[in-house]
Amino acid sequence: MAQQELLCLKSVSLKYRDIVAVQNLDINVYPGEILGLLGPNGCGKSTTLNAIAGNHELDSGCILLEGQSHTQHPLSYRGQIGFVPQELAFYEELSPYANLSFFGNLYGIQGNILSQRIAEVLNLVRLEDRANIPAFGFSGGMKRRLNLACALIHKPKLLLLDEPTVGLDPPSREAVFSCLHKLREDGCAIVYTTHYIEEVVRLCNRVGFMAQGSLLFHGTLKEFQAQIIKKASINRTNASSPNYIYEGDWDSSQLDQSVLRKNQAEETHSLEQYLIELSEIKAA
Amino acid sequence: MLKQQLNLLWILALKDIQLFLVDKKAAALCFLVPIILASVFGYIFAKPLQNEDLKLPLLIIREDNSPLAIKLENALLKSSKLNAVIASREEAMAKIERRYINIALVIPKDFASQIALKKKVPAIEILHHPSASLESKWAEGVFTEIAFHEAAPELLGFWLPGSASLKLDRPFEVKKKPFPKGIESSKQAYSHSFSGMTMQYLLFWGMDCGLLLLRERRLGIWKRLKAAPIPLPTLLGGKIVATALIALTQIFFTFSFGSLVFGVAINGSIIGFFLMAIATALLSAATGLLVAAIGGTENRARSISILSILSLSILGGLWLPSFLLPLWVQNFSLLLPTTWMIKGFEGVIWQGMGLLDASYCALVTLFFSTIFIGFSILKFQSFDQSSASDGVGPCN
Repeated sequence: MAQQELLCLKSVSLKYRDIVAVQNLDINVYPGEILGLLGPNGCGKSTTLNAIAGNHELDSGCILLEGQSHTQHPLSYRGQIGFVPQELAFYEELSPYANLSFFGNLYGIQGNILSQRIAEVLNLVRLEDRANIPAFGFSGGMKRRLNLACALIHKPKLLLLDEPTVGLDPPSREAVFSCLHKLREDGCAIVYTTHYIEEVVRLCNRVGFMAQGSLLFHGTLKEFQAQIIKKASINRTNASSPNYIYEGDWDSSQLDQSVLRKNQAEETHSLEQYLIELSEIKAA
Repeated sequence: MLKQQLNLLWILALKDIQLFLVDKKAAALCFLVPIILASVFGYIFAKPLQNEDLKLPLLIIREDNSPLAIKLENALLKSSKLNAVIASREEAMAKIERRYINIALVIPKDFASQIALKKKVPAIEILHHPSASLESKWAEGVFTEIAFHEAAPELLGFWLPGSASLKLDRPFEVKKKPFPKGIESSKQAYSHSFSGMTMQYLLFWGMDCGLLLLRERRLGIWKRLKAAPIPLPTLLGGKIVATALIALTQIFFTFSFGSLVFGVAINGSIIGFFLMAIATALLSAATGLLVAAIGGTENRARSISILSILSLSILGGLWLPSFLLPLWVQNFSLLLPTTWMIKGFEGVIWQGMGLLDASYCALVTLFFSTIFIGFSILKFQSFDQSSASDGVGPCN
């Protein structure tokens, strides 16, 4: 029996003033899978996430979560979603415990259940030893993990993550990945936006590639590896300063917008790993 | 070295100027707000001197039916410096007690006969609310001028026969009677100050909370809150309740201090005081929300709030008694919530205002709060519908 999709986007289009932000998006997400939305800055990833979260009205199409639309059942729809915006969306003046307590209360969790849930979530994001310290003094990695934790407190069925690893060092990134793996194992569906290909390869079951508001590719990771990565050409443009260009073999008119550029020194390591993985894929 | 430091200083300054100019509407408001404030208040305060429309509201109680008393009454009614109306003593006392008016001038029985008999220096009475000692002096001056102008022969006739004792003093006495009793005018300054300045501070407090809301929108917390299963009115309602509760605590704390240290007391209805405190706290929250809704961004909201709070404070009588303003401004100020706020608050604090009148002032203040909150919710809803993110641009 085919698995029932948890999230379904049907011909979703959104405009910002007269600019098309997202057009004709068709996406399905199933329980226990991670969909990676890949694409360059400004391609419509975050707008798509915000639309799924119910923060934007659609110009056309519909979004269904377990068959319910946001417009018809806004409160029960939102209650099943955990949203992690790109920004640090919690109160830095408060401790992780106080933040989680507040967000838990918003979702109707109280008393012992809340305390228990806070302990679980703090354990999951490895912040249990900082539970009662105000968050403003935390490192970037700890803040990112707390940002994630605030979206997990109510055990959402669908987790929306908007570039959650931006600015994180490798250990902090690993901590986030491990947390997401655990959530996937528990049956949580995740939509994850990023412009790091290696993150998609490591985390996701399925991949969507967006450019200029459109979905250029949508398929499983295997299909992504087969159709996109295998055919990719990797050019090292400058040996002294790492500056990699990845170009897919899709329509050349879309190429300019869908080129992924990585030129930050801190990403060299992961890109090197990616190159190794890629060569292994090719060898296989 | 110095040149390098100066260069760095300039680079830093330039960055701040660039940041200032990023939001062009906010930058424009920064220049416009002081111009608007200076121009409007300059116009308001200059106007009375030019067209002399500053009139003192006054009740005339004529208990003497002599031709002289009638003559003086007519002159008072015609005076361009007064907004005079005839009343009985009972009517006048009731109106002064309820602060519908502050001053009543009594031409007592036998005023003319005392002049004619030359036995006793005649006396007029000025009944005034304890808060209106300044206005009572104003009334005294205007009456003296009118009396000399209209009835010099009758009044000075008292003195003329005995030329040795002739003085150019005023040939009648003025007996001032503060009413109602039991209200110490010495406490007036502190009471007005505690009422006016607390109200003004609370408006700034509300503004600060409005700015905090806009900051939350900018920082992304708003996105998370909106994604939670909470309707927008509830989301904004939470902000209002928090702001209002803290404002309420501030009111009680401030007035407790005023009471203990400066003897500021509640001479009117205590329930009325609590009603006014609740209405005022809610208004401070509603005003902050309104400013945030109109401004849309922190920078714009800051300029708008300075303009609106200063205007509401000055025109509403939080700084100066409203009778010092032109009549048209006094009438206009009835459309401002601060007028009712200060009227109710001062009323119950030290003017002996009863529960009924305090309830009326509180209801009007609550009415303004409701309008402000309703408008703000609509405005925030339209923000969410018209913008892809934060009201400032696409969210990618």
